[in-house]
Parts: sequence; C-alpha cells; structure tokens
Amino acid sequence: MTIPAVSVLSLYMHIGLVLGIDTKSTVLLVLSLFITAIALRTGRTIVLHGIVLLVIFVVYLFTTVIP
Amino acid sequence: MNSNTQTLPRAWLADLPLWTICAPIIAGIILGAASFGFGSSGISIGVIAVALAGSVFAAVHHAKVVAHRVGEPYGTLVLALAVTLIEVALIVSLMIAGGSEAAALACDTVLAAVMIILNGIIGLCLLLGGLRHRQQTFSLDGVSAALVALAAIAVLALVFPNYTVTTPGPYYSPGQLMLIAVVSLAIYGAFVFAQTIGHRGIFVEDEPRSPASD
Repeated sequence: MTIPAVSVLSLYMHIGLVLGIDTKSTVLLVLSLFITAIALRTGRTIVLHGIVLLVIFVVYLFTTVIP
Repeated sequence: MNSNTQTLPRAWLADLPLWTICAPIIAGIILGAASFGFGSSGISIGVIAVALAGSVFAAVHHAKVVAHRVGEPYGTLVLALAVTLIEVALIVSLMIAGGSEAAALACDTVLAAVMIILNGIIGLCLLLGGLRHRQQTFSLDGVSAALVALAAIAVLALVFPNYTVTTPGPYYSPGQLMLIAVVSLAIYGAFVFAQTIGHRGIFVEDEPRSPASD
C-alpha cells in the first residue's frame, strides 16, 4: 500500500522517484521469496527453516552496511 | 482476540498508558520549539529524534488497542492502515527535505520492510516456535494468499523498473508509475477482500490448532 501512495504523491509533487533496487538486493529479495515459499510449503516447520531465514536476514543487514 | 470486545470502557482505558498520551504532546512542543530556532545542535537533533520515535510508538500503540477492540480479520487492516500512513508521511517529508539524494528512500524503505518481514520476523517465529514446540502447523491457505500478493507487488515495484527501457536506469516513466500504482492497489485490494469478506475463514485462527505462526 506504500507503493501506490508514494507513486501518486511523487507524480503530484514532481519529485523524482527511484524504485529499482540494485542487483545485489534483487538477488537477496528473490532468494528470500523463494526460500520462504519453500519453507512454508508443507504447513509444518522446524527450527531449521527459522535458522536459514534468519541467516539470510543477517546477510542482508551485513551487506547493507558493507556493500 | 474476539474475547475482549465485551470489556468495559474502564478496562479499555487501562490499555492506554500515560506515555502514549504524553509522547505526542511533548513531541509537538519540541517541534514547535525547534521551528522557532532552538535547534540544529547535535543534542537538540537527538532530542527531536527521540520525540519522533516516541510519538510513532505511541501512534502504533493506539492503533494496536483499536485493532484489539475490532477483532481478528479487520484488526490487521487497522494496523496496516496506521503503519502505512506513518511510513508514507515519513518517506514523503524526507523526500521533500532531502531533494535528489533522498529519491531512493522509498524503495530502500520498502525493501527493508519486505526483508524484515520475510526473513527477520518469519525466521524468528519459526526459530522460537520450533525450539518451543519442535514442529509447528499453520493455515497453508492464508500463507499462500499473503505470499502470492507480497511476491507480485515486491518484484513489480522493486525489480522490474531496472528493466524498463522508456526511462533507462531504475526509474519508471509517469505512465508506468501510474500502472504500477494501480496494479499494486488491485493486488492489495484483492488480498484485503479475500481476508475480510471473500475467504475470511482461512485467515482467522482456528481454535484447536493454536500453535500457529504466520
């Protein structure tokens, strides 16, 4: 819901809006969508899934600080 | 969560601690003082930042109380609306103030939100729930609906603009921007419709299988 609001406001106020993310973030975003879809596929989860998702989150934080 | 719709007004007032009422007022006073020129040193900027964070947390707390009162499927809507309003207000005010440097702020914020939800929150839920209950079960239909909507909006809004050729680089042309706004609104609207009216049952927690994480 943020996307439509910000888009319309930026059109209205003539502010340049950058929406694309760089390749590194794209890879991480697609990876986490993929992993989440697989991890939540069966309806039953164990600790392993949580650890993997948290590891990807830590990688995202780390590469945000040190790109 | 529907159980406390019967509570008395007095009990409802008890959900509002004093700081949630004081924080916005204090923040307003600090903002007024700052606009009259008591600002711009490091300490006062810190004070302003703390006041901003305090009033944001107070607003979220108010929204949480309202959401509790409203009940399960619509309560999430109240929270989503409140958080979106806060987020858009912050992004737009920073973009107005920051000029061209802040143009990428919107996509960074949205990306950070998506990553925190997908990896941080779901990961933490699965880890803690897994440690506590060994194996968790949840409503697959609700998860699939939310993930489908989230994946489509995230990829269309964040990845796709890099590959459009009308305006090279990570930008959409105005027409494309309108299209993406309409498309994300349509996806989100369909999700909200399914959540509240169409398929309400798959989103409301069913009682016997309580260790659900979503």
